[in-house]
Amino acid sequence: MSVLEIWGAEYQESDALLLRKESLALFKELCERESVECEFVGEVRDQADVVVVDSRDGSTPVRIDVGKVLGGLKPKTYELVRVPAPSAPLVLPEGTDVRAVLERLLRLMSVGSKRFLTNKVDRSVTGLVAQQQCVGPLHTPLADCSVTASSLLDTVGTASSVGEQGIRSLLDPAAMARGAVGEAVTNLMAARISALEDVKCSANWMWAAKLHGEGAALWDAAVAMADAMKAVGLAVDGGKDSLSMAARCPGDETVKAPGQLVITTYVPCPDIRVVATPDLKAAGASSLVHVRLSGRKAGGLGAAARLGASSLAHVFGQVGDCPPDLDDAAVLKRGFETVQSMMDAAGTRILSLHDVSDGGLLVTILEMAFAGNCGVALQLRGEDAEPGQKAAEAAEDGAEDADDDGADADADV
Amino acid sequence: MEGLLRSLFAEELGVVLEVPEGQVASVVDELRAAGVPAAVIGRTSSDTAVVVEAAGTQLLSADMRDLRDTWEATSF
Repeated sequence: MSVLEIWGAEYQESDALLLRKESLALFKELCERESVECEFVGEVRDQADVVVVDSRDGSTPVRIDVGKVLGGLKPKTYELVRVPAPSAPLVLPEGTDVRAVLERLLRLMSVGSKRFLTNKVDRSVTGLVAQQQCVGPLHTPLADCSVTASSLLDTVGTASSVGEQGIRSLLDPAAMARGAVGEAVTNLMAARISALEDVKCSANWMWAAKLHGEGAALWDAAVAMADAMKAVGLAVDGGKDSLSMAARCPGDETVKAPGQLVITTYVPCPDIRVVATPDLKAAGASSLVHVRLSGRKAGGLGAAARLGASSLAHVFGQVGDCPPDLDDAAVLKRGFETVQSMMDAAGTRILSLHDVSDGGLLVTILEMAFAGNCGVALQLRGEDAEPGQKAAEAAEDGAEDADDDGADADADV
Repeated sequence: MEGLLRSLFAEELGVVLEVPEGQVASVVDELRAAGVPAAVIGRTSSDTAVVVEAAGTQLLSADMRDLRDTWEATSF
């Protein structure tokens, strides 16, 4: 390669290290022992310039005054403005009943079966897969999280889950971010993990960040995500972003994607056999318990259900107004830890578990029945009432219960 | 009734647990003692009927297999 090529090449999949001079010999030895290639490419001098020397003829094809590159740069200022999201209350057609809603909802891709994905992949490669995508006697694609063994000779491993609620950012970017954190946590609940504080996450951001109002929305979402994670005990240790999620189309129209955050968690599992899958396992001899983890203060009738950006709104071609939210992360954390403490490999106390997400509570329960190949009878009043609650409240309680160049800028964080 | 219908489809954070009959009271009590709202909302049944009742009114009566076919429809 020419000097230009050597100097300009990207050298992906490699690292640059700064070593003390006296450590060079040791480091070289380590590299030889591990069969890793390393090159000593230069040294730091007490001079504010970068010089590249061509060893063949002693010439210096590159000589950069660092002061000119770094010194004169002014800090960049971004002017961000918040733009209120347009919203309107969800209106259902006159006479809509549960069955009519289900006819639409169960066909929505984010709700319906993902069998088209699971059917064409090997879900057991490596022999270390302890919890794959499908569950129950019919191999229904409904698992909430994955579990892999660390070794063929032991029962410890790693659990992983995903959370995302992109459409909510059409209404409230902060609620979207909290929803993503919350969904990742409720999905992870299905496998017994070492501790919430051990959970690390990858955060993937997809946003049309340069468009009007979107920068501020991204900021609000990032702050909300960090606050929710601190309250629950999680931490982001990496991720990726695509901040050009907009495209200019013919006719001067710019199309942008809703700002989206995808959280992928991973955490040690002390015993990979302790997993509560969503398929119902004791048809006719078990009850269904709804655990509410949003921390929302008990409020009013079912009419107050927050349906903004829900699948229900989606299938009726609307966005709605107020989206669901994580109001008190402490409730989520306590709920997570309490449920985990009741789990064992035999399913003595908890036979099955499924999180409430796209489609809502009824879809969650239906999916458990689909996978368990049995029926369910739901009573949304009476025994579900919490002490001191009025009957009217009990009903709700139970029931509720581009201005860029088009290039996709990806950056490792 | 539309309020109840709506809350069936609310996507508030939560989980649904299947608990063996003998354990239901203790599971719910433990959750509530930890300050986590929990309530029994139904039972599993050994047939394939899906029945949803609220405030004495039947909101849904269907065969699980029909609903499952709809759920699988987009995938096939």
